[in-house]
Amino acid sequence: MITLRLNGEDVAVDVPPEMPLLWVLRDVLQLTGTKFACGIGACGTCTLLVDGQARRSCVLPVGEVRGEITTIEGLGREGQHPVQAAWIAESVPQCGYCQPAQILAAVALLGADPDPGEEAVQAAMDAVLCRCGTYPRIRKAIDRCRRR
Amino acid sequence: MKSPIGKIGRRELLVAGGAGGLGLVLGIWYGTRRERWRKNVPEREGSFSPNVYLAIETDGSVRIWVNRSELGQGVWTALPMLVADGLDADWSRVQPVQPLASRNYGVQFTAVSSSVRSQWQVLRQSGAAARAMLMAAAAKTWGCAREECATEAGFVVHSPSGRRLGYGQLALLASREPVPEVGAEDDLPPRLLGRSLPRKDLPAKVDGSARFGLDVRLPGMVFAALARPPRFGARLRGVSSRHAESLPGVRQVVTTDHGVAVVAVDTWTALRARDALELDWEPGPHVSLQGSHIERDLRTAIEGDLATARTAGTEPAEASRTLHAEYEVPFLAHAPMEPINCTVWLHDGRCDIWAPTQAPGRVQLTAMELLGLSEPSVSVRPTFVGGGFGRRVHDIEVREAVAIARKLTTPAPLQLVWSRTDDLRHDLYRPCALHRLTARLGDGALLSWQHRIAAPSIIKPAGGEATWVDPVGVEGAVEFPYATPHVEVRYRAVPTPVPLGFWRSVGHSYNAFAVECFIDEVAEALGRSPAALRRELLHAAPRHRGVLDAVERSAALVPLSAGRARGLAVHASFESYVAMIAEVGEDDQGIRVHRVFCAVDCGRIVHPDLIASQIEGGIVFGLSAALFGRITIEDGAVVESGFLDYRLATYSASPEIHVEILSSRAAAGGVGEIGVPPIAPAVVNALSRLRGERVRRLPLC
Repeated sequence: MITLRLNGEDVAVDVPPEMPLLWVLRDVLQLTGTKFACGIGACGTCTLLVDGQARRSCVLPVGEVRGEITTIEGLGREGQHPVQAAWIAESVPQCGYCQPAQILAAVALLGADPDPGEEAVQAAMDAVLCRCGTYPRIRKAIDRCRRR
Repeated sequence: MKSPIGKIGRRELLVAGGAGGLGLVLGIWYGTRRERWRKNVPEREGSFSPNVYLAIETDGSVRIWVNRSELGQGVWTALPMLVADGLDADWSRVQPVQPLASRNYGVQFTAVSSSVRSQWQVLRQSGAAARAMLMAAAAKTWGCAREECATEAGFVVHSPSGRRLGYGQLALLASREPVPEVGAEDDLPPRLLGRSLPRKDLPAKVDGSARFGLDVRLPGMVFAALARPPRFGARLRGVSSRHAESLPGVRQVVTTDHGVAVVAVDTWTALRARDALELDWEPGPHVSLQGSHIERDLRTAIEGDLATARTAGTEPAEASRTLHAEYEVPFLAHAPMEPINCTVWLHDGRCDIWAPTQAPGRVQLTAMELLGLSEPSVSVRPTFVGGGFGRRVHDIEVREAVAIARKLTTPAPLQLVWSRTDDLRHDLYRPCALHRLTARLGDGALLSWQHRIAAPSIIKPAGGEATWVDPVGVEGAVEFPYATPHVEVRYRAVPTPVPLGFWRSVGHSYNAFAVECFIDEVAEALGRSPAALRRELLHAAPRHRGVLDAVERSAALVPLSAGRARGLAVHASFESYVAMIAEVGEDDQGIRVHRVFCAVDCGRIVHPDLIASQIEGGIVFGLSAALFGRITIEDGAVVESGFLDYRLATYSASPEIHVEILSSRAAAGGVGEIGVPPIAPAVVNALSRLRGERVRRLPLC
């Protein structure tokens, strides 16, 4: 059994340690807010937070996870997170499939620096692809969350 | 209303009051009579048949069934807005409902940018009919004349006395009123239209609760990955599944006409075990097919006999100058972020399907045909779609999933998952195309425009006769809008074994590139500015000119930065008009599109911000294609395997985008695809100016 600290709770799962966290969440724990899109850590759609840092869960073996995992389901559990509110205010999502990852990537970015420079924003947000092209609105939503 | 897509034909409104806890329910049938539907789709006792369209519950909430798929384009907002506008509903009480596939909803096919423009009138009028019935019910309650009643966002108001009744309070009474004739489109005053109301799909899309096809989870569910032929036309000779079957969690290995599938208790195991299969494939007839052969075939075709798509005027006897150019574009993949998938459950003589599809009706028919089941025995539940772009009008994955599910020794709900490599190597590709353009110039004027197109045809992939024109293969070329004494557009469908499909904006995606780049070449040769020549030649095309003038004005407000250049493109598609100016720079980091100015005339407007977001998205989608998009064929197979070799534009590659939506009284045009065609020519025209030499081939990187 592997015990995870997930969205504020301890969760035990009986899976091989090499199983990627993505599939433990989606197929074992039925938490489908974390999305599959490439499986090789190339697109960032499976991004979640481990101790507040953005990680790609499709290439993260569950046995190697150390720390508190936050998925999109856990982000708003004490009311809508300011980043989620900004995403609504700027009408960011289109198809919405990559948006849990975009939101969590932005949460990690703003958690590390509440007023990030353009280079830091690019480094964080280039890590998550969006096929619908919501990038201009992601930029606006992040600006809305800045604390100067 | 004459639909631009197809005839809506007769329609009927149904009133069903009181049943199932609902108040007023209005249903609409398209193109056939109620009796015939009853025969095909028996109504079920104790519940509404799915031919219900709009329901007002006694608590005042309004449910509106959305008969198209939410791909991110906003049909969950725009279509209910049309109904709610006629109804004068309180938007905060409107809840969209995604219905099962059923012919009772009319056309559920979500394609050709048609959802709003083909249904504008029928949706508004269905809301207006319900509003009239609510007002009639209120007038009876109050014992007053109907003319004394008005509505205010979910209430009927008695104007002289100020009394009010909520729609919910009136719903049961209203359902006993006859369905009235409602006024023509122009008599209905807009109430919600033209406002950027809160999108109904957003809350679920930011909190992770939105369910896409891949998120369907059912008790006892199993997951499948399929090994498909590694080359076009390859056939399975033999399979050894010993290693795959030995992996813990593997349930079954299944051979079907589509390939060999591994069924497992989770997706990860299914994908790993699929890779552990030892498969022997007969290479098939196309093993030596190379991309260079396809290019050669296009070249041969363009020099041979072509079918005439359009000919007008006569070729000038004398021209002082003739320009020739060839433009080329590659095959492209759709690459939606949600991988292709389908969930099928065969049980009790029934088939239940959950699919992120643009074509629920087609999915249902496919399953009925494959399984020999009748319509009521096949339920198709369209889910949220994680990107469509045309890929999900096709239904191969449904065929695959049904074939695997039929062979399960222990029946269970089965989810077929395509990996990203499956997606890129087994897509239905946007055709490649070769254009040969000739312009004849004289006396400072364009005297003749000749456009020859050779391309594989989505409609006839095995090739067409020399006299056949694929209408979608020439769209965006055949409408050549610039005034000139002679126009000729010719086309030849070139056979290919590469699977082909509809890709956002279809033929416009490559024809706009050729036309709008070559018209720039003509302007340059005539010593005219690209905007001035276009403006002159568009004198009889006021909507083209309207967007051209508007984009020129908005770009003029922002000075061009040093070391960059701007390029222009104007293109009409799906009954809408778009002009773009792209500002492009280039340094040792590569090509950089800094800004795009855009003006749009898409007729009457439902929701301005949905239009802006679709244009922004279309620009980024088209930019990925222009900069990086290329599917390469080697040895009868696709080379690209993922996002590392099929690159997409990222956050930092995305330009600053200014969208101006022109106000218009014209009928609504399409929106979902119209942002794609002009971006490649606008960028290439800018880049050509910047480099001082013409670029005529995509992709640029």
